[in-house]
Amino acid sequence: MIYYSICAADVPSVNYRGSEGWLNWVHYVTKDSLATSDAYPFSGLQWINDVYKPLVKEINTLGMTMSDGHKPGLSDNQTTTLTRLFKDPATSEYYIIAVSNSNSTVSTAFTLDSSLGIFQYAQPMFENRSNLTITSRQFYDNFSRFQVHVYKLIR
Amino acid sequence: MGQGEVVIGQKAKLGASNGYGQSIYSPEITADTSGDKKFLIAMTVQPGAGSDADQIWVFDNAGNIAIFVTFDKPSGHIKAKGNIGDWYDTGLTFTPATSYLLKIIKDDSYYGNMSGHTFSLVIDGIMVLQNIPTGLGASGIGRLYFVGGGNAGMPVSNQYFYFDNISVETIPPLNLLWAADFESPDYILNTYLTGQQGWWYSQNQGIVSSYISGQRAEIGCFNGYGQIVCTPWFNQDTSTDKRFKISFKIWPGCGAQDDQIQIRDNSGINAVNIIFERASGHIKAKGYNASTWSDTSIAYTSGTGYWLEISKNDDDHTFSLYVDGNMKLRNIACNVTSTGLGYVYFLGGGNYGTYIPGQYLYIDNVTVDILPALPVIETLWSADFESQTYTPNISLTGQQGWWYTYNTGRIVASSDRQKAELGCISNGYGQAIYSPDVTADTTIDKKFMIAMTVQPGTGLDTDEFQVIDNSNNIAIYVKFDQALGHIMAKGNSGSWYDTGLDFISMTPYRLEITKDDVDHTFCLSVNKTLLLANIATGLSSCGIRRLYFAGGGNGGTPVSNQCTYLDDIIIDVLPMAEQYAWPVGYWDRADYPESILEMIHEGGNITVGYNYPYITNENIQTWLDQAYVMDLRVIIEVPRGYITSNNTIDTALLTSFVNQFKNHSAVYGWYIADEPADTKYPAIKAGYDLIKTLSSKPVFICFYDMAANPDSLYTFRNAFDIALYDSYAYVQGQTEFYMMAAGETQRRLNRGARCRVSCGQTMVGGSAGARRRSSIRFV
Repeated sequence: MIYYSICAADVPSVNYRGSEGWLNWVHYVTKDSLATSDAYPFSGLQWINDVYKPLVKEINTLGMTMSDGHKPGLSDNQTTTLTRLFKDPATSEYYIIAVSNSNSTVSTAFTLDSSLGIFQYAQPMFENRSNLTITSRQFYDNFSRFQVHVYKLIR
Repeated sequence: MGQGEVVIGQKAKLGASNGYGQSIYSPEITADTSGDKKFLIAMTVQPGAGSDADQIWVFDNAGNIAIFVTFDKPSGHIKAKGNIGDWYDTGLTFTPATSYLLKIIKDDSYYGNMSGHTFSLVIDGIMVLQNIPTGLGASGIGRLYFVGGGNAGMPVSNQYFYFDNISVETIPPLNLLWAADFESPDYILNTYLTGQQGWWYSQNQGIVSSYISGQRAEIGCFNGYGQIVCTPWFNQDTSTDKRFKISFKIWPGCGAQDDQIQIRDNSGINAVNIIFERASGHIKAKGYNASTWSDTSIAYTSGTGYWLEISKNDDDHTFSLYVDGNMKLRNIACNVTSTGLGYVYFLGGGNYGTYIPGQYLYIDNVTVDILPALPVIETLWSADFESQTYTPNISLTGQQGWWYTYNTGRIVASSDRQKAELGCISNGYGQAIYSPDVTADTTIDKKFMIAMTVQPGTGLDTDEFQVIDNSNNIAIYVKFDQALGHIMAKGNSGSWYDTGLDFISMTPYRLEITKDDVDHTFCLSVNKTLLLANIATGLSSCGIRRLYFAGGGNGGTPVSNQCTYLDDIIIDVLPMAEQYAWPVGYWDRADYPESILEMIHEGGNITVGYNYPYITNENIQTWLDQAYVMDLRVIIEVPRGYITSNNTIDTALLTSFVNQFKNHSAVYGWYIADEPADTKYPAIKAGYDLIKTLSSKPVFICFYDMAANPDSLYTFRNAFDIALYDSYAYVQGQTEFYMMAAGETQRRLNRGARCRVSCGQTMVGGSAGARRRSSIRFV
């Protein structure tokens, strides 16, 4: 969800970047809020501890990288999948944030530009999944509705 | 294979029976790689008697060895180093076959210099090395490596290297640099404090005493005289970009002598002095040798515990004092230019030699921490012609990368210094020259400072210099217009802007130009006075490739003093926020400082404070002060009654409000309106315009994706700098993400995207998120 705010409405034609911050409403209320009978996405869990903090940890993991702006060299075959390539300015590691803006399941093919060099795997981050093999600069992944994947590219 | 073994007593042993050492890696730890973590790596180790060093290495997540710790056998000392540089000697002589508790604090949040992150080493509870650079920018903990137990192939008794009880944990960002909690088993009850855990002064000062909820330090002597105890020397880095936080609980006594606390810097100077003054009954503070005390106006009660917190800021040599969580004194001058944190000095418990009950001073929970480093200014390039690298009395062209046609400019030596001279004194024509290529970073969000000393000549030709960007465009022109006698400037296109400053030939002027690639503007200061602000360069290209200088001409007829002189040229990259954080946080209330620490510990770095009608400016001041200490940035809401409530602005109140808080370091920007209706536009636009005349900080506004007007972002485009866009993911009675699923959020954001094209203000938005027209700069 948060990566929607990072990438959503990023319109290259007018050259403005995705969301560059994330603010939640509102701490002194939310800190005590439980999802009770609502089917809020994380039913039964406490928002700050169970949702916000892990997400902030993810954001802070990639924050420096995102702040550097997304880079050219990545394309995909889905109009409903927003994909962005980032490069950590400190480590030169590459990351992909991919957001499905679709209300249904989609399969997306990612293609990396040859100028980036050769990568062996796309390592899903914040998920307990195996690496995805990159063959001929391409790899594939499935998205459930509005699902977000983050990958670290491994040479 | 076959390295190390687990031995009786359930500890690991390295070293082979043939006298050779062994080595072994820990499992992969792969701790979080984000850049703002501190890690605590703890273990007990027992060095061997062999001649080979016993060592522990800490790898980061990029596979680099970030930290080496060694039991150095030739010196008998424990030493440590980062990835680069020499060993740092703890000065601690170790004894083989003796167990030591090592704690290594790897601090990925602190990298205020070019040497990378830092680490500290604590041995048996004493911090023996602090903030040693790792020399690396990579983060996290990959794994540990142990090597030792060797004696160059000749076994001896006790040669083995043992280690045990290893733990690696993440320390919260504000965890302690040093602490003294007297409940700790490290402290021996009813024993003098001096001599324990590094506390010192003269012998037998203070005592660890018990009280109702544990142990604390008691200062003062039974015979009625006061005592002095000092924390260990912290020897904290003396660079000028540090801020320290020192806090403790203190119970003042009732003796006739004042109780005092001093924060000594690394030169041993009492830069901060706090007193529980008997004469006034107040808590007061002052800097070094100040003639008067600043009064907190707190009438203290002896025997009552107070939480004191001192923020010592080496960037501007001031300190602030909190009492029980409230800032009572702010930015008091330390009156010294020396820096760092040496130690904390406590004096008290005296009654001029006559004991009375309750005379003692008590302290507990002494904690010391470094607040996040302030941004670092990076010098990209400079030219000081005094340097040995410049040869006087010859052409500047060809020296140190300066270039143009041959024999242009020259270095001249005046009575006390060398400088560059432009102008041909033989024929009266001017000269021109380019600086070496600087080729500063071309990313969009940089800001540069170009400073130089220029001494215009008496010739009729205008002296001019140019700033050329990385696309070879001339972004900035500055000239000493001889016809007008004024200093003027302009961007790549358009007319000249007149500073109105009448210059005097043969007089040096210090020019400072800030080139802001975020919004492609520049400012010009002359002799530290801002004369032109936010002049558009008229370009979208970025960076600095080089500088160009031309001058020293008199239309081909030489006259005396026609030449133009240059000196002390410097180009800095100014700090930008995103080097430190990606903005994340919460809305909250501007009278609720209780949330601030929670938000920090949750990983946040910014907040928006609702400014409800019942909230006073004093509430806001306290809230901002707390945010400042915790390093939380604040977007503060302008009182709604000043703008939106009545659909008109109250100019006097709004001016007063902005002026009161605009220079507070915690204030990142202004929140002008919360999900406004279109009818509010005239007032909000007027408020925006007024704020912009008072404050350079950005103005925020918030819209949401169910607003009646889908074009609200565009409608208000001239009334904000940064927009927050509420995207309510789930609304009762609606399908989850229904606005997004219907594409409405996307459409609205796309429509708003026209802002940038039409008016130069970047559209902003996102899912309950902030997008900004310019980079968020945490300064």
